[in-house]
Amino acid sequence: MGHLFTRFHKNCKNWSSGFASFLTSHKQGFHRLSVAIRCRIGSMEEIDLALLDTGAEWSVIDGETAEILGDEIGPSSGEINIDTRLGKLRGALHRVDITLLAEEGCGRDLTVNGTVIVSKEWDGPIVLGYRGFMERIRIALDPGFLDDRQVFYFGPVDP
Amino acid sequence: MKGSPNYGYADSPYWNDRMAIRVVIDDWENDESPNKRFDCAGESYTFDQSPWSYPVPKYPIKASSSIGTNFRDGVHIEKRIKKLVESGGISEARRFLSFIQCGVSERIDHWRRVLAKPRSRSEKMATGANFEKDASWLVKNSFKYKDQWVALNQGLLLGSHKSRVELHRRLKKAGKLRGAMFFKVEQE
Repeated sequence: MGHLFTRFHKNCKNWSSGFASFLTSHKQGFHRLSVAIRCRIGSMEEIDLALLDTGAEWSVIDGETAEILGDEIGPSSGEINIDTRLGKLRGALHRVDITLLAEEGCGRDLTVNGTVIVSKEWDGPIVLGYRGFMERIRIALDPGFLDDRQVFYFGPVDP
Repeated sequence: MKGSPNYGYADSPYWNDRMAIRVVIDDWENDESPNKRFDCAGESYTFDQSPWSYPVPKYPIKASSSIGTNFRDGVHIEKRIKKLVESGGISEARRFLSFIQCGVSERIDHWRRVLAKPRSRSEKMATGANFEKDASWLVKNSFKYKDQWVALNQGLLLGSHKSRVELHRRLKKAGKLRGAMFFKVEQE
């Protein structure tokens, strides 16, 4: 297993900068994460499992995680209403670094300085959504049908 | 759909900007009109470049509310941005903000900051260890920690607690936080 490449005539370029395995149907609390990937939020030292959800408008972080991040998430622009699969919630948009973790020997981590909704009402998993996060990175999933290893590939859009 | 198309799909709450952009690109390639203009919900837009950086607004805009005339004070601008964001018109909110100078108000500058497109950078190394051991530990032991947070590192339990914040605090104090993987164990 290795990186993904793009080929144009005889030139090959790295498409992905890192990759790691991911979990499917992982249960967390009351919730089931269809695709769970590992990430680090802000400068937190621990690693979290997050739901990768291309259908989610925004990434979402719960109140406890925000409490650990403390001042790092910066001021809020005021609360907004958001529709989630758990119903309507209130939350505020903040800018934060989220790092996707590559496994050893599988390239490099990728940090995205993006936008998340911080909601104290949210008791679900950390969600990585499209707006403010996925819209400027490459992602690909190999479901591991042939070699039984599920792999999440990622890379920056800009060189 | 040549000339100045009126995109009816913009009113549908089920269309998001991503899907709308694709339709505009198709049309843009075929559109031979010189001024590259389209109308949406009573407002006209003229583009000097490809429209995929200016997606179709979803939120209906009244003809009288053209940008730069009725939005001179910060409160109205902020209300408009908030409404666009809540209705899913993120691209439109970004475009709207691009018309407004920096420094109108701190809150608007904050909106500009949080709605800016994300930036990515590759780090110098990989820091994610293989988590097969952690996954295996969860399969065998998680039933003992129902409704709790557990912290694992390479299949070793570092600690558990009902509160994530408290578990974080304890591990930090013990110097065991780096590389710890946090899981919320399944509830019954």
